[in-house]
Parts: sequence; C-alpha cells; structure tokens
Amino acid sequence: MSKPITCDYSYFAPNTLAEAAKIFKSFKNKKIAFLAGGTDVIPLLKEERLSVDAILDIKALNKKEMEKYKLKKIEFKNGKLTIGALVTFTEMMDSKIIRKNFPTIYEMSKLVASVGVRNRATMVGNICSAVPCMDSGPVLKVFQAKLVIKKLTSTSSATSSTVKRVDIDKFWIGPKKTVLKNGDLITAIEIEEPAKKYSGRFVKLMRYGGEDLAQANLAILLMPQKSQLKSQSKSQSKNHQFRISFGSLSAVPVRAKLIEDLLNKSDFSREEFEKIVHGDALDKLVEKTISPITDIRATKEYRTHMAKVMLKRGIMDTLLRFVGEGSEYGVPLI
Amino acid sequence: MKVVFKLNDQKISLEVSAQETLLEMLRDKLGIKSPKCGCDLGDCGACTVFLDGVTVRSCLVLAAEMNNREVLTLEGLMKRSGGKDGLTDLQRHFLNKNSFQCGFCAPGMILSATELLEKNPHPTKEEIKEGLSGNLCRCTGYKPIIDAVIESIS
Repeated sequence: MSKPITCDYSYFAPNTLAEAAKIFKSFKNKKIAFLAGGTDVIPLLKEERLSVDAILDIKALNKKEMEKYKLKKIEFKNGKLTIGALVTFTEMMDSKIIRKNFPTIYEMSKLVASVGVRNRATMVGNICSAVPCMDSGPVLKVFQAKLVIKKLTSTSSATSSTVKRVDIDKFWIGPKKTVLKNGDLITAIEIEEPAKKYSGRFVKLMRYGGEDLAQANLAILLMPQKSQLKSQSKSQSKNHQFRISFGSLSAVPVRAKLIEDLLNKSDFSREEFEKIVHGDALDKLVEKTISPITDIRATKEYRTHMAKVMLKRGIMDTLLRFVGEGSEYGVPLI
Repeated sequence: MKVVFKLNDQKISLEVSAQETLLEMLRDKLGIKSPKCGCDLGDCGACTVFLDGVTVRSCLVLAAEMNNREVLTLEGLMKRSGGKDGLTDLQRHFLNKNSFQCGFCAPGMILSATELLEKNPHPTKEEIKEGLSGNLCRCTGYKPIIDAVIESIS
C-alpha cells in the first residue's frame, strides 16, 4: 500500500559539518533529522510518527570530512574498535576485523532484518532510533561502548571541546528516547577489545527465521580477567568476568549485574556453571532483572520464560566457546 | 531540486521533491515498472533495486539522495545480460522451475538472488533461504523459488 511522505521538510546534503552547522543555525530551534541509511527515518516519516523541518543527509560530506570523523571507517587501533556512523550492518558482517576480533558483533549483525535493509541500515542509526528491541543494544552494553558525539551548535569544527564521548549506559533514557539533543550527531561508536582472549554470544528470539524484530535478545561476554588492569585482577580470587545484557525485555537494554555477580563468584569450571544454570537462583535473578511487556509479538510470560532458556544456553555456549569447544559464531542458538 | 545520476547505465538528470522516494521516482517519473510498491515500509522486498552495487529497498530511499549514485533495476540487468530472449541465466532457471505465479515479487526476488550469487556463488539451502528472507511471496510457498536458485548453481 502506497504511503507517501506528507511531512513538509527541506532536504540538504552538506559537504562539511560546518556547512551543516550553518543550515542547522538557519533553522533556529526547529527540528532536524540526520539521514544515514534511512531505514528507520523514512518509515517514521511515512507513518507520520516523526515530523521534522529539515533532513541533513550526511552521506554527501566530502572525503576530508569523512576521514576526519571516521564516518565510513571500521578501524582497529591500539585495542580500540571504531565503527563510523555510515558503516552499514552488511559492511560490519563483511569486515575481517570484526569477524576476527569482535565475532559477537558479527553474530548480531547477521540477525538484523534482511539483506536489503542491512545494506543500508547503520548501527549508529539503530541506537539513535532506540526502539527497545534493537539488536545493537545488548551487544554495545556488554562491550561498554562509548559514543562520539559532535554538536552542530558549536561553531569551530574539530577541536576536542566540540566532540564529547558518552557511555552507552547513559545513552538511552526510555523507549525511543536518548540523551541526544537537536543537532547532536553521533559520528562513531568506540569499543575497547575486552581482552586478548575472550568469548561472546548473541541470542535472538524471533517468530521465524530471517527478517523479524526480536521478541527478546541477549548478549554475553566472558573474559579471563576482572578488568583490563592486571594489577586489579591479581587481588581477585576468581579470575573470570561475565558481562550480560538483555534487550527487548524492558524499556531500554539492561545490564544483568546480579546475574554477572553470581557467575563471577563461581569457580571457573564447567560443572560449577552447570550447577548455576540448573539452579533456581538464576531464574529468580532473571525475573528481577527484566520487566517485559505483552505486545503484538509476544506475551510477557513467554518473554520471561524464554529469557531464562536463552540465558542458560547462552552461558554454556559462551563458556564452551571460551575453551574452544563451542558453536561457530553466527550459528543461531535457538 | 535537481539530481543527476546513472540509471541502468544511462545518465539521468531530473527534478525531484524532498518527499519523493526512489521507488516513486522510478515508477511514476521514469516509467521503470519492475520495482513494485508492496508494503512501502521496507518489509516485503518488492521494490528491491541495486544502488551502487548492493540491493536496497527503493521505498526507503529518497530520490533526493541520488546525486552521483548508480541505480540498476531488473530492466537494466536484463539489458546487460545480452541474451537473445533478454533473460539472465538465473531468470531461465526461475522459468524452468515455474517459480512465480502472480509475479509481483519476481523482480525483487531475482535481484536479491542475483546479489546473493554474486557474493556467494555456492550458497547452501539455508544461505539461500536467509538471503531471500527479505523478499515475501504470497503465492508459491517459496519452494520453486529456492529450487530454481539451487538448480542454477548445480
């Protein structure tokens, strides 16, 4: 069914961010939207759920600007991964760096929508839309990602004062709500490699294989040390660290600190983890961590039940992957 | 505003509005009818076209974005194939397997399958299913479509 766009905005394709800032200024306090892949912005405009006065397409910025802000880059330098705002999910899936050093991100990217959407959709766009079922959410939480934000309100273009970094934990404030102000542009996502050797798992519950939104999703990381600072880990008797985050099970993606604590206290052995996975304590902690709703895709009871199943299988597979016996990255767990 | 771009290997220069989608421009202004308007929200894949070498949902792309881009639709792909009957090799397999009934999904399906085979010349059945999962077909139950892609690689 044809759904023409009715919102009367102006379209701009600035060459530089300074030019974008000028356009932004000329629109005074009116609402602008940045356009990258458009796979969320355009449906929202068609359904009249988004109303803007100007659209600033950042894909026509010149090469110098693209380089400066790493907008198209997937870069891995000194243990830090940078994913630019214009990097698509397909490019993430095809990246050797991501496949090798961040296979959990590969595993997640593979499950986002369908090929034709992944060819345009970006991870930065995914988190800006902030839909509770976004697949990027739990993964970025467990990697403790940082978002590089450039404010168009500031006039000079590249000084550090005009660029700030926001922790992913402080980014979402509600369903479809973020801390971004009008004119704030996320230029890139930064992720530190958690350890030289670590394992991860992304689990997504959908109604059918292929293109669907998550009914529930989950990301797990397992690292050999408490933190990257070795001096700290020496004082710890237990030497491993789990990070776990659920998505689509609360208003914003949530870190499961209580569950992490339970797992981090345990001895590092398959038997011990199996005991936890089969015990009641874990189920209770899942119920404490999440607050799912009933909607068109699933009931809250089903979501709660499946969150437990996904977590149990996810923990064991992450552990097996850590010791080199787990499933191949990209193979669905449910 | 004016956009200048390449469509099916030909240079196009055209006035478009900020609200117009690539799909609307192709169908209503340029008479390119292979991309279809199904859901108009990016879910069904009927409007699939190649943009700079990758398949996209033309209903989710603004016409205004087209400056210096390259668009290829099924019309252009068939012209490129240069066969006597104007069909691509893959299309012959779809014909052979009687893959389509109403044909509404066919252009999108053919382009998605073309991209899949370009990237991965020997996909498994699972990879074919995944690669085509963004293209919905309400007639066939998908079997003859998947069979045709399998036939094309064996």
